[in-house]
Amino acid sequence: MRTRYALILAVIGAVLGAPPASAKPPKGPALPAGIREVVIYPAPALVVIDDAGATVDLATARGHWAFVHFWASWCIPCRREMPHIAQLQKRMQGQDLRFFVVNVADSDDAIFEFLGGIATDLSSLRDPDGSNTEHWQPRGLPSTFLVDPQGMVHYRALGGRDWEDSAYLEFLTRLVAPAGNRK
Amino acid sequence: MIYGMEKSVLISFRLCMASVLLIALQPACGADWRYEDDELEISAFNRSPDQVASFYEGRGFPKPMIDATRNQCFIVWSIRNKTAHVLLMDLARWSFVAESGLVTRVTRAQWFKLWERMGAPANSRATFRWTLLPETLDLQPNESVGGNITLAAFNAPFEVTMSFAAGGLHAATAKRVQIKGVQCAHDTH
Repeated sequence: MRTRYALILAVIGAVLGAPPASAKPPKGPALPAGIREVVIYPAPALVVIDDAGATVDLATARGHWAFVHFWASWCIPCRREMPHIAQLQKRMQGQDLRFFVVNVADSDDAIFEFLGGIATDLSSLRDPDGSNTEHWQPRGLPSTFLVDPQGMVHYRALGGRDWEDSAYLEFLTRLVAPAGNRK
Repeated sequence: MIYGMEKSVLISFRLCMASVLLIALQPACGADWRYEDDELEISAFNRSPDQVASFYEGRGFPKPMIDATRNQCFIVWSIRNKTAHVLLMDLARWSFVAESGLVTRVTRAQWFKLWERMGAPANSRATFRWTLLPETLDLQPNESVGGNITLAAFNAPFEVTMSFAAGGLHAATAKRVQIKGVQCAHDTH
């Protein structure tokens, strides 16, 4: 009898101790300050326009990591962060990361004036009525999301940061590197 | 940790006349308020109707929207969670109390209704929405949040009591911060 109970308890223990069927994927790179891992979810649609008025769709980035960033000209932290994003874009050239830097509801003039003063190399996309941004539900501006090649949001960055800092560069480089090349 | 008990602190209250040298940086003839302890860093600045109007005019807001802002009191808040855990902010649990009674807060939903009635342009609504302090937010460790709280225009000083819950909205442990002597800013002309 005791042996049977012990066996039942062992089976229950084994079942409870087993990893759940939907276990999280292996841990990615260590997270630098301000980057938060989220419960992975499908990225909302993002269909915005570029400075020439052409439509740009996040869906075209499938197969690549995407850096989706929302900003506005009146936002002080955005002013501090934007030059770092311009530099980050340069530093990440040739790597598997597509940038979608999206202005929220500013006029053409406001965008031109803002970028002309602090990040002349950066061209921003526009969400003219802010409706795309609403779908993404950023906690505030600026706000950044990192979307994997399958279109799933994995990380978000709270507020502005110095993206040129080595901690962020290393994180992004390791994140977008092909699985076999990750250190 | 101060959870479960009330802490009333007035850290800084500077009158307009005492900050003449700061006028270039702080064009409003008003006051600012700061609070800091081991868990929270909070600052508030009032904005006069002219300042608010010029901010939104600069973003292309139509005149009826600008006029609507002129009837309200705008106070810009900046709040940082210095703890290692989440603090829940819920503006519905904040109070604004003057000697003569409650000061009414104008909520985000009320603004949206007004913009809806006016047929305000979507881009202006979006910008306005982003300049308001969120109604609720789970402030993450070291996260900062900023934005306007709007109140019905009021002429006397009032006390703001802010409540932050750790461990969920209905948590028994709430941190409360009180700032006294907050005032709406008025145009000087």
